[in-house]
Amino acid sequence: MRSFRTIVFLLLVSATASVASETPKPSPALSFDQTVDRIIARERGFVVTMKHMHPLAETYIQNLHEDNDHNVEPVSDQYFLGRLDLNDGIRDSVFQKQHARFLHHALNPFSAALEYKFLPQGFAQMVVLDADFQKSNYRFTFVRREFLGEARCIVIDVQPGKKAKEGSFTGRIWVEERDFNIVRFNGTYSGHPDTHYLHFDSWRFNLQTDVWLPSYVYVEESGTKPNSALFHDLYLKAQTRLWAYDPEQLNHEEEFTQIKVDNSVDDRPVAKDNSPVEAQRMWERMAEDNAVEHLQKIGLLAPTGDVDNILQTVVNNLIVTNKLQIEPDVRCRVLLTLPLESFTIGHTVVVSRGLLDVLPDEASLAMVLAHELGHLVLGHHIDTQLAFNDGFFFADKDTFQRLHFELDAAAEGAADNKAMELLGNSPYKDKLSNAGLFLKALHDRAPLLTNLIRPRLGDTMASGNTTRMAALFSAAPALQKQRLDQVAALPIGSRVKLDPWSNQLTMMNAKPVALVSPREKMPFEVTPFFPFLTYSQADRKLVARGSVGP
Amino acid sequence: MRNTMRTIGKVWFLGFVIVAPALGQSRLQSEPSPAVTGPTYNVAVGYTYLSMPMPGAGRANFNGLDFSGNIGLSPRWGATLDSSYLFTPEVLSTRHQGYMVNLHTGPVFYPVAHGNTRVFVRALAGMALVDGAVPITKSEDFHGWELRPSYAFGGGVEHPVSGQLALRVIGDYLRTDFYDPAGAVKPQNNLRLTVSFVFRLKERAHRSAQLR
Repeated sequence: MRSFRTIVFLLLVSATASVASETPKPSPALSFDQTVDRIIARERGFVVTMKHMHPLAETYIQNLHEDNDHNVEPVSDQYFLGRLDLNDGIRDSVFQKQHARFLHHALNPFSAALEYKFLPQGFAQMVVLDADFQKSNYRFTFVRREFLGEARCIVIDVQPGKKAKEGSFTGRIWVEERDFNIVRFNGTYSGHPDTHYLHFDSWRFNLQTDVWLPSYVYVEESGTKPNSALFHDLYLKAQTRLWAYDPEQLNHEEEFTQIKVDNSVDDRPVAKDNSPVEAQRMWERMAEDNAVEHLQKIGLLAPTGDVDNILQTVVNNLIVTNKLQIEPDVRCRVLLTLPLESFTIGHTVVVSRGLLDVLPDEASLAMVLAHELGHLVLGHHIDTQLAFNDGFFFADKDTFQRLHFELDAAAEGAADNKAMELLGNSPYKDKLSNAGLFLKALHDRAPLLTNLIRPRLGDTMASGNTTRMAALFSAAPALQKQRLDQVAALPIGSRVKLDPWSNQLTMMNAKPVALVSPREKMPFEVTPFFPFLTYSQADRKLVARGSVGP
Repeated sequence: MRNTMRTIGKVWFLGFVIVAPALGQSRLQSEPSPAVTGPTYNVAVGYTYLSMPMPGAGRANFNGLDFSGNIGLSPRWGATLDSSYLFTPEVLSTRHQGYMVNLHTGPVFYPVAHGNTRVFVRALAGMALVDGAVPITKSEDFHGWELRPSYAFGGGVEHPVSGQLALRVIGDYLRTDFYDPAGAVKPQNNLRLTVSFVFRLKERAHRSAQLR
């Protein structure tokens, strides 16, 4: 089935690309009306393409509050992760840690209707401008031309016409001039005031030749007069990220055809038998590999890459300076989700993308990794039931319910103590004040940003009044929010950049910016996106491949 | 007349319960999903006119005020609590004043929306107090009041006139009871027209924090 989907997708994208290549390139003689026709044709093609895409869509929402001194801070949050499906409208299967509380709903059937609720599909919807984009439904007004990164764009204001249906897009679009793909649109859907359509800024990346796919959506709604009345507007910021587009991710069928057997006989003179200890280690490694491979396959774990190497360097610093002997080797991987968590899968240390993003410096990263290394040194082992592959035969959306890598409080406390010991012998021992400050900032925001702090697979960084590494927490200087030179935690999205097609992570290449006010510190906060758009590289050109038989 | 009203009532009920949600659902599928759902609230006050048949004696005209509170539970469904006070200085030349007080509640369904204008249908049930008079002869009349269960169904249009203010027009069939000249309680098939200003209360921010 997966193979069939892959073939369908490849044919579809190839067809789209070939149509695009046949499309005449823009000429100066092209009128605005003709340009609009091209844009609409491309957008309708995009909707068809998206129906065959099933990326992961992660939405994180922060509700805001402005105090009397006009300081705006998040007061609560919400998090969704799901797999997008545009067939039959917008749907997505949401990854949930727990099933909905049936008894709660049965006993209180009106609560759902009377509570405000964020809808994952409402945020996912914002990747599509109009599922039935038609020229007759809109008024188009040319604004200007401008560059978004490498892409030279035509900027056009789009407003619903008289014939437009409810829910039509109203706002501005940016269209790259090369192939008339919409690469950014910014506005909302028009509707009755009682329908909660939010304002959004939606970005698409050129992930394959001639294929621009949704990658980032930023949502913002601002309350006008907080504190002035009993009722006032929604006041929130939110980010939606999409990734795991590549249908070939971890598809081993291709590898099957490329197996090259040099020599089927191992004639090394060394011992070929495995001792019971080695067998146990291999069994644990197998469980570890199964879990890692599964998480990567469903798009939750990044493929090995540059960011893993950075983590590995810090881990090696800790291992070498503490003269540790750990068998088998420690590996580092990045979980692609936002909630701040880290954990170990056997000897694989996993850190979430969200946690990497907000850590202020290398010493803070060392603190996180030292804690996980502490688990390994203390011999906290993996559930070896994962060595049986049938344990992974479940729907992707059940992953958070079926896989657990968290350890109990006693193990966490022991790992904290061990981590302090490891850090004390490491090159980071004199640079840990920022790590302690990070914990204080985390402690400060933990009661409000519960969804950001709550782990989905692993161990929590903070819980109630306690944080991980309490000794570092108490030794840290006081948190001073007004001091510009004290940056305890970074805004979300500060460190790593995610390729939505391949799931590869790279470090952000942003120049350092001097803060001009404490408001710009924004620890753990959602910020707008402003990516540098580029055209896909030639070496990433899609090559149609034949299917492989079993 | 009575059978006709029953038939109309049955057709309306069928439309409200079966056809209207199906129509609404088909529209919903072509529209973007909102990112937030939650109750919306509005209150309305307006003028209401009622044409009331006095059993066996013709129709009396009442005028008055209508107050209602509405809660929107989804883009297509809501509920309303409606009350009105209607008055006439003289009921059918009887030299008696008449008034009606009613309180109803029930669901509201919005099958069609065009831009910011919404069409709705509603079905209400509650109580009605009718104080009136019925001429018995040219010089004699019967005067009294009756408090009985009552129901109404109808529909209307709502159109925003500014950010939080909207205009709503409703036409209702209202079923009440009153005495006929023989002193027996008989049903009344009233027609009611209401024009009101709607004040939309905005959603309370930070309620989503309770979702945790």
